[in-house]
Amino acid sequence: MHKKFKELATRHAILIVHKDYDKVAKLSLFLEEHGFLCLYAKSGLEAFKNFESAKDGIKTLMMQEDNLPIDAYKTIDYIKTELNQTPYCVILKEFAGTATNNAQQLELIDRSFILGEELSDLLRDIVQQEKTFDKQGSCVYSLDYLKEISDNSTEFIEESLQLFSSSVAKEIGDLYLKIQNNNYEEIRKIAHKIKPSFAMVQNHKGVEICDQITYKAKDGELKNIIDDLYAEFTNIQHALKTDYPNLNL
Amino acid sequence: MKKILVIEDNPMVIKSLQFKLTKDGYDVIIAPDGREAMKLLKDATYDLILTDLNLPFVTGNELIAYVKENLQAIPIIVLSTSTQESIIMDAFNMGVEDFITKPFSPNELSLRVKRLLS
Repeated sequence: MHKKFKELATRHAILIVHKDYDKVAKLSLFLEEHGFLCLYAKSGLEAFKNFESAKDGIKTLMMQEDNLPIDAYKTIDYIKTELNQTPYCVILKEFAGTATNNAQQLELIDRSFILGEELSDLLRDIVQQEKTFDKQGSCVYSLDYLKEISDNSTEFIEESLQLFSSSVAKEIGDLYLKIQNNNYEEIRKIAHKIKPSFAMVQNHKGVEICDQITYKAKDGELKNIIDDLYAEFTNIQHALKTDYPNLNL
Repeated sequence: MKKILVIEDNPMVIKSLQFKLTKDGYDVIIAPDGREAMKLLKDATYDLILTDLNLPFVTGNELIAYVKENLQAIPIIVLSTSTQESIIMDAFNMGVEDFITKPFSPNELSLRVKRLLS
């Protein structure tokens, strides 16, 4: 079990849900060959269990449209609304034209795939959505470190995120003030000071930029690098505001 | 209850140290800069000091020098973002008992603090 979770953390996991494994075996093998971790479930009920235990580890769900007792749309709706997880959702069809899709159902899914169709297009779309996912910021921070320190205290984590937001925003404001006055020594001190804040939300790019400002960059390069730091901070803020709409960030 | 003076200017690091050390059963007093730390050191006694090196007003090195000259019994752990060997060596040469890099590992911090206070 431990090995499975380790793999979930490091590889893009795809859960394939179909009552008959033989019909999705080729798809599963193809995806495994391209580096994905494929999990299999027979029904929506099994899929719920997988999503609950994987805790955001499953990035893509592929599900037989007319699976019983809960069809793909109801399963996806439950995963999104009740489990608060947002995998890339692909509906698997036996052939074009099965089951009628209404607009509400289509809103829930990202794409459909007819079993037996060319697999490379599907692969391209999954890879593309993975890149978008990284770019959009759901991965620009991680709470693992804050959870480790606090033994999963929600109060501590939320207060720390608010501190991150307010204190780093203030320090970046100071960086812009100091650059106007060409106060490079102070700029390096501030970058050094806020580096652990980025490290604690596990944003490696922010850490790297702080190091660049503190140790590597020439004075004339600092303005552009501060812009990079601000952009990265904005990415984290955007992701945090999306994930924690109730916090005053 | 053992009393620890934490000298640190990053609010997130302060919060984490306060949470972890309080949970471990210590009385934690915070100084956000070197000047405030000097005042606190003159007014009370502490069992351990955890200090950053880059501090406003009075630097970590100045503070360490003061403690090692006047309050030799208090062990010091340096907490720094820096992993540069020269900075670590300088701290040990000044007589500090230990050096931890930020962000700290919570278990490692607990063990090192416990070792110095036992």
